Amino acid sequence: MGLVELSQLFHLQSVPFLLEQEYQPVFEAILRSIQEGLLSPKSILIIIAGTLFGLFFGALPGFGGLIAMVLVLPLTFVLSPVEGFLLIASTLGGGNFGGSLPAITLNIPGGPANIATTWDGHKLAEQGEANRAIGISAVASATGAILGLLLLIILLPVLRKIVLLFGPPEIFTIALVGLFIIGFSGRRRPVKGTIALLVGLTLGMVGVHGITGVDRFTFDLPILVSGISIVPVAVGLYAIGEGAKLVLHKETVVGSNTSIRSKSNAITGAVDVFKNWKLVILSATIGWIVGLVPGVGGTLSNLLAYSQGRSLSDNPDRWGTGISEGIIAPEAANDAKDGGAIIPTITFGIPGSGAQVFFLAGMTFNGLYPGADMLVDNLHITMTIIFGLIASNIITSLIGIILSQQFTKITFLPTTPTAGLVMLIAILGTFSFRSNLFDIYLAFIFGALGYLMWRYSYPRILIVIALILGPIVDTAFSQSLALYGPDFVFRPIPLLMLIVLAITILMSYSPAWMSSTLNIGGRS
Amino acid sequence: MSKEDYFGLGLPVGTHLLELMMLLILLGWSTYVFVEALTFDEFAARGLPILVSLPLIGLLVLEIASNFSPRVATLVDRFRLEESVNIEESENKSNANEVARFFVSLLSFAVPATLFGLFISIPVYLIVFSRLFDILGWRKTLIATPIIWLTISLIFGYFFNIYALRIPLPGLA
Repeated sequence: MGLVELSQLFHLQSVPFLLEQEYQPVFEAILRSIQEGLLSPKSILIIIAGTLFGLFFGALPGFGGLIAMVLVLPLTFVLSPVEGFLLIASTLGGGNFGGSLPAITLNIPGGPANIATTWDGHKLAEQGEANRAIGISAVASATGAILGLLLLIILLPVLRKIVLLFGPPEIFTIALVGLFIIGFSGRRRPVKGTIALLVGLTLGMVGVHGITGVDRFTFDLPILVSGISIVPVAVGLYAIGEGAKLVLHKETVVGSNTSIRSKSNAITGAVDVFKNWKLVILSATIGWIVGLVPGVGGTLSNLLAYSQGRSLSDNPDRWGTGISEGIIAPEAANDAKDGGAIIPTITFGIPGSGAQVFFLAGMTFNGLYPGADMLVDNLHITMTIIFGLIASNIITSLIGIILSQQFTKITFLPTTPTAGLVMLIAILGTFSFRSNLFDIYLAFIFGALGYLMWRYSYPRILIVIALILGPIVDTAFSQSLALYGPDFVFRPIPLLMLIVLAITILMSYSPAWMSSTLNIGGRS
Repeated sequence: MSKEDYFGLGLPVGTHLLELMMLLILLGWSTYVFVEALTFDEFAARGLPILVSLPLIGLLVLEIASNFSPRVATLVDRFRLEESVNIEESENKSNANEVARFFVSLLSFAVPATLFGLFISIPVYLIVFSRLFDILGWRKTLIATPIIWLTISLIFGYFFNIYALRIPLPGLA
């Protein structure tokens, strides 16, 4: 049987047509993004600024790309939706690469996502090849990110079909289960995680209830009628809380005499990446799949990719001594995870990683909701996020190759004065959000809470996630009650989700399970 | 169980007073949510707040009780002892003096911002922060402050439209 007969037998002649039909909305979304200023000079400037900003904070030991995202969050309010999402996406792209700089030069990971990069990256730097290590990191990060995002684009038509099957009961239970999975995954102390989660949910209920119009928990303050905004909470918990941590605990220990001399060239590093293309694809795939799991994201993807790369290597004994593969695997996985992590974020509103929380925040600012809103009605916003991430990754790889030596100097900036300035910028950013001093006071209150939560190991990110998801969960709960009454929990998907939730809670509180997750957990 | 003397409170050894205060404030908040939710007529408005605040109150009481009873502590978290050692170590690094200095620096922003506006609070904060944490000497602080003040005011005033930070430059509305 020839190929023609075979394709006729399986109706393969309709595949190109079907593909065209399925991807038509994706192309239309790209066109709409362009019409709304995706390629305008202002947008390009925003991408470059966001990338550099993220890179700067990602490279500052103790700060990290997450702080950069917190700082740009209020600024997105004065931008159009397309520009705002470009700023958030490019800051994330820059921050991801920035975190590898202190990992390579100082042996201090910029964040948990860069832990594995220190093992070979710093060794290579000690051998006088810091530029090569930075080149590897830049190109591996960019390649991993682009592969992860391409996988996401390929899956978009499938996701569009899935979200249309979900109504309020499904959204309510999936969001609830997602929240608890994030709360428990890899944490040593489920009680503290649950407390943070529930506090965030109660904060999300402040304001006028969307369905009944009841004024809830506002202390009769008019500013609270519209609810507690995410900006002062995120700025307080992270920027001020982190500032307090850095100033009071002198977190960074960079000696003034620490210096890295490099005799190598960053282009050599780029060539190393392309020579190991199989490892890049493998690591990117691992990172992408791990990114799909809410709450696990960054920390696990780089460690898994490193261990998998090592076990498949011809020279496993050389890993950890300063070889290029030891940087390629974690960096490609770390950046590819964002392509996977976007899926639960835009589909169900369950952030796949800490950074994705700020995409969710950006959505709520613009009155967008995860699900059909992001994948059907406003697909152009999703395409904008993807484009922003791809563009910032290309920029970071170019910067990594051209300006590697200059950017390593950021890692030596003194901590205390930088923290002081960051707090000032964060406070002003909070005020710029809606020009009200109340937001500054709120940021101070949450700053104190953020510091205490860090000090006593309560996961701060859960408050932010629950605050964003709280109103979504609340509205879906009320809609489900109105549509089906209390029996909505017995519908197939909600019932299945509630069983999953019960198992998750039971497993998390079981000592045996806690022991087995001991090595994964860490501070938020 | 031996006692620790925080302001004459005689709390059990290993009690983290600041954590206890935080938990009590959160308990107050969650109790308020629970009690106020009971007053709402419509189930759609009170259902979820009650469903969320009730277990929250329970967990907060458990966490507070774990400070006073080793048995509850074991129930709540078997890793408490291990972590408390880490916290003791980190507490040694920061003393009450540094915490006080940090909060004074925040107040140096909040108080002038409330009384005179943001434009004045920026230089006050910069000077206080720089001197309290010994970042620059008086002379360098007084030179650096107007430069940073001007830069921040220009960026936030003109790029992000904070009118309180706009400098009345000729020709610029």
